[in-house]
Amino acid sequence: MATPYLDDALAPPTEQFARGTDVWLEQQIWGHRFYNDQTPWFVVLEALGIMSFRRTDRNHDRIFDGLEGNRHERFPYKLPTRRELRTILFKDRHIEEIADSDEYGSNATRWAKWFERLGAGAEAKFGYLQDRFTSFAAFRNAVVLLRSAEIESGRKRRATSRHLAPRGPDMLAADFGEKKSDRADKDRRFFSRGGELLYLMLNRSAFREQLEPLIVERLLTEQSRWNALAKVMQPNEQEEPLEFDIGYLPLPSHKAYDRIAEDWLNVLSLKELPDDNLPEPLMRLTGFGIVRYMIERAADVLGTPDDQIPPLPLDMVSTATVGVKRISQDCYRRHRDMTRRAIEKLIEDFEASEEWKNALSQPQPARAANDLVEQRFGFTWSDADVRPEPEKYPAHIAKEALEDHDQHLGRVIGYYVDQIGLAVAVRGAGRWYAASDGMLEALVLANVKEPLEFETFLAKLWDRYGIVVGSEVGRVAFKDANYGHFKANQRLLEERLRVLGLVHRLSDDCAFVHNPFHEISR
Amino acid sequence: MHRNPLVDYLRTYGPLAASDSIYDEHVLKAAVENGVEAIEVGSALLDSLVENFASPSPRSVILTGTAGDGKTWHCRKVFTSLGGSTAAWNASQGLAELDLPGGKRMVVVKDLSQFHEDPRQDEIFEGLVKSILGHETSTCYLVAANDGQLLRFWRRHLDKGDDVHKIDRGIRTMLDKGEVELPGLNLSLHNLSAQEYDKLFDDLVTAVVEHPRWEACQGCALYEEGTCPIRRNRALLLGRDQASMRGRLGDLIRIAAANDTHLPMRHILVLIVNVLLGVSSRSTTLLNCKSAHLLAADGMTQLSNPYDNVLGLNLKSNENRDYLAFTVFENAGIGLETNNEIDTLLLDGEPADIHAKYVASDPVHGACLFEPARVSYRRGDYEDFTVFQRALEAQRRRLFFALPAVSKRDDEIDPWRLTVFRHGGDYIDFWKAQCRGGQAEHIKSRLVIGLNRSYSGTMCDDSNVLWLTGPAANTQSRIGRILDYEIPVGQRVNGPVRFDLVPDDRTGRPKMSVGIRERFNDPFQEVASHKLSPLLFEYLMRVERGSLPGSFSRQCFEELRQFRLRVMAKLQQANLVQREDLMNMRVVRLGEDGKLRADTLDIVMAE
Repeated sequence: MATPYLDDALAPPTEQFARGTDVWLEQQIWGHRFYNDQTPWFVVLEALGIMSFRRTDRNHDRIFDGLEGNRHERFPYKLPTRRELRTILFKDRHIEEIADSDEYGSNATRWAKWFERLGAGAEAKFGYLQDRFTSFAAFRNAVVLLRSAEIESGRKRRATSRHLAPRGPDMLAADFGEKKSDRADKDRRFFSRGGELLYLMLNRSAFREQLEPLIVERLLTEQSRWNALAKVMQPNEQEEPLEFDIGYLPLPSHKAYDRIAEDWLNVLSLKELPDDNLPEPLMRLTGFGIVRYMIERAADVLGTPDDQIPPLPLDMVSTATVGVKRISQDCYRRHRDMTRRAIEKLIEDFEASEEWKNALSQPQPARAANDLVEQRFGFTWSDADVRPEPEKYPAHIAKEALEDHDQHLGRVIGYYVDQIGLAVAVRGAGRWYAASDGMLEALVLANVKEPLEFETFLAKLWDRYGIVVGSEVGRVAFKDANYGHFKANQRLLEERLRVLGLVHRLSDDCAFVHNPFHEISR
Repeated sequence: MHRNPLVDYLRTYGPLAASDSIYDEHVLKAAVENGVEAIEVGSALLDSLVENFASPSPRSVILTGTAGDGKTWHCRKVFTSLGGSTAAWNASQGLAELDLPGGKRMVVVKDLSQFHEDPRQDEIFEGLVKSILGHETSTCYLVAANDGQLLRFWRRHLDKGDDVHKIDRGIRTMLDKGEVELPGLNLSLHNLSAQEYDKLFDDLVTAVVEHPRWEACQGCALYEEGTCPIRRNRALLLGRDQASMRGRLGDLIRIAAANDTHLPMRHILVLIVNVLLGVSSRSTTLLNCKSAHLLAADGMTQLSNPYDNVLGLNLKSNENRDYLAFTVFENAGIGLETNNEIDTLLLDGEPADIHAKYVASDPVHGACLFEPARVSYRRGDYEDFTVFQRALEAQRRRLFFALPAVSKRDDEIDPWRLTVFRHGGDYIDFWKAQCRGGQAEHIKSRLVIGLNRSYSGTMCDDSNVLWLTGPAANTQSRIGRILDYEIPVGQRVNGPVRFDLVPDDRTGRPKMSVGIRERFNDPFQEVASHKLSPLLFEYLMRVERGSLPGSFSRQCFEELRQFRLRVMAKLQQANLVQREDLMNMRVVRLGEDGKLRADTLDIVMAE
């Protein structure tokens, strides 16, 4: 019996495999699924939503149970819709106008006016707010304030896909569409399971036990005033939360999971960094971790040994580092193409496999072939399809898989590195790796405890992420390159870190990278 | 022709690329050859080191820093102060051992880098580890090593176990943070780059200009006539006022050190000797007695211009860029910065009384040196403008060392206006006053206003309270909106938290400090601090004045942001920030009176 999963992978939960996708191919490599419409921020939000659910739900003792035996995790989870909050924050057009207007005298009048504008049933639905605020003006102030806590506010998404910064459990919400009947449409357009996969990665990592208390203490408490503000705006009774099932992550363990988990652990352990400032670096490191995962899984499938995976040269974008830029462009292209080639390889292997050759040599090859591709890839023909000869099935499946890949998963690497501040893209020149200040700071927060010598820091970045900045590592990573440019690149990185207050040069011979939020234990 | 051997000896303090220890020997030899006493200064560090090693349970000591810091000198002096002979020191190759009065044995490693290929390195390493961890205290160590080499030494041995990792982490922390000791390690780490340089400078100047051998000038014709350029330069360096070459150089060195640019002892000596003996436009760059006589005979003694020598301008073809001693002052922009009032003083001689007192008063390098250039400029008949420009810069440089400190706040004829540190004088005063007293209180108010403007992004005028505000959504924006905490400023404060500018316990430098206390009568405990470097000081003072300089504001902004975050983390840990209580959440706005105000949200909790 052919299986729809790779040799070293777990079996997918049946409901994942059985429905929804045309070809179950890339999912066997990377999981179901990462998607380019889900930004790294939304991956983190979706994952935190799941963690928050597990924390409060009576059926679960802990957020991270780990993997039991060889069975893929399987549990439903619920996320609240928070419709009232979203209406107030993201749909309303009247609050500010009514609050500022001179036309209305008393508070009561203003509230009444607002309910009127909202339409029938508004007072029943939103009346609780009158008891929460001493005046309409206070209500307006609170609304304006909370609106500024929105994540990615510039995107103009539908109200039910707009989210607040994850400063507490009362701010985490589901993502859904609204059908005409006012019912929720779980279309998974922006929360497309990326967060589920992140949750699974952390759950299977070596650090999950240490992560559990830190996540609870620092990301899921109700202590934040933002959380209190969000809570005050919501009614005590809300509608039923939406239920979802968990996605598929093939491998039971992988160094990419541990890397992401270790970064989370290091950042969450920084007691001198206030809670409010944790989510942003976590988002960047998570996005980066997912990019590494995509590259490394592709390498696994292609059989590329670790030391032959193209490195990640980080250009400082200056005329003195043009050599670095060129190498970086090349490496980015190769990374991007790796995912495609991994899919092609999977089909090639299938085509060369015994079971396929066997099927073709059956008395009714078409039937045997159909059965096999259905078992292996979940692939069936629709009535409208023109079916080729069975020998041509693999090519056809590959084509479909690649088309879908190019539209979605294939774009994840490029999109994510843009979003997290790890790349620049210039029209005509393409995209290559370069770090924004936020990303540099996140890398320091996750990798530096006591002061580290600058060279040691660079070696660590190479070791953990394959990042190349200077000539020392450059020599190891690239046989011939313009080392002068790499030297300049390193100097520029030091300068940037210095301006960010992260590097301290003692003498010609000695410079330290330090993490201002790591407390020295005395 | 009369010759003073002291001058020849002083010349040997010229530039040398040799390592620290070899330099030390070279200089000692020169003193002997010329028959003069070597230049020596006292050192508080030396006294404490001797005390340490004379005690019954001495700690091991590592002296680190850069080349020219005096590490070898300190080692030698410790050795000889505790009974070792100079002969034994000279004879020993790399390692010198001594039995201490307290009964222990001391091993001195003159320069760790010399043992790079030496098999004895492992022996040293083992012994050092045992001593630092307190496992084996019959032998203690005194090691001299440059900072980079010291780190490499430990890194090379990291595979030898967790204990080594512990020491390695400890040393990195001590080096980066400037700590001398850490609990758990039987070690004192002194970074000689972090000494009080201006005091060292002052002591060195004294040792040079008040050396007893100057009396050997008696009987010389130039000495009798008073035309010796060397003695004239020496007289200039004898002056000790704040408004003297010595005083201002000391201030600049202090500022540079507070900005983490250190001038090791050897470099300071290069500077002093160059000021004393430097000469431009001759075949030699440093005078000796013979060339001084020739110079006087040619009537060109003004070519030995101490105000040019300070920047090493007497050296050939930009060689001065190679010496840290000169680039430090070049970076201060002396001579390049100026304002209208000072240039008017120089070009028009107005105001006349100031001109008479500070410009015309110098018979060699003042107004008379400038006069030909000035007249040509006024007449408009210059062919090459750069000649005039250089002459003007030379006058400005001189004025920096000659003008007195200003007494009124807005007096523009302020010598510090001639440097990039326009508020340098204020910084020095603030430091010396230990952040207390009338004048310092004014400066403190201005700094707090600068901080509030930086944090709130508004042109507010609050000086009694530090408003820590944060952006509403956590982006890297510069405009604060939500009040994190209002911290009253000063020593006498009613609440549980206070902010103040105080001198650092160890270095004496001003720093920002936030302290909290549990109950009203308890003393305040510091929970977060950040040193007030001259750069940050300059930034805050300029912001307070109304300008927002772009070139160094980003770095200062990041420093301030990190300080705010660390303070907030500490206040949260101490449960001083009421989180559940929404009534305390306030939005910060600039009021019409120019002061910040925080408006509450008027929220009533449903329960």
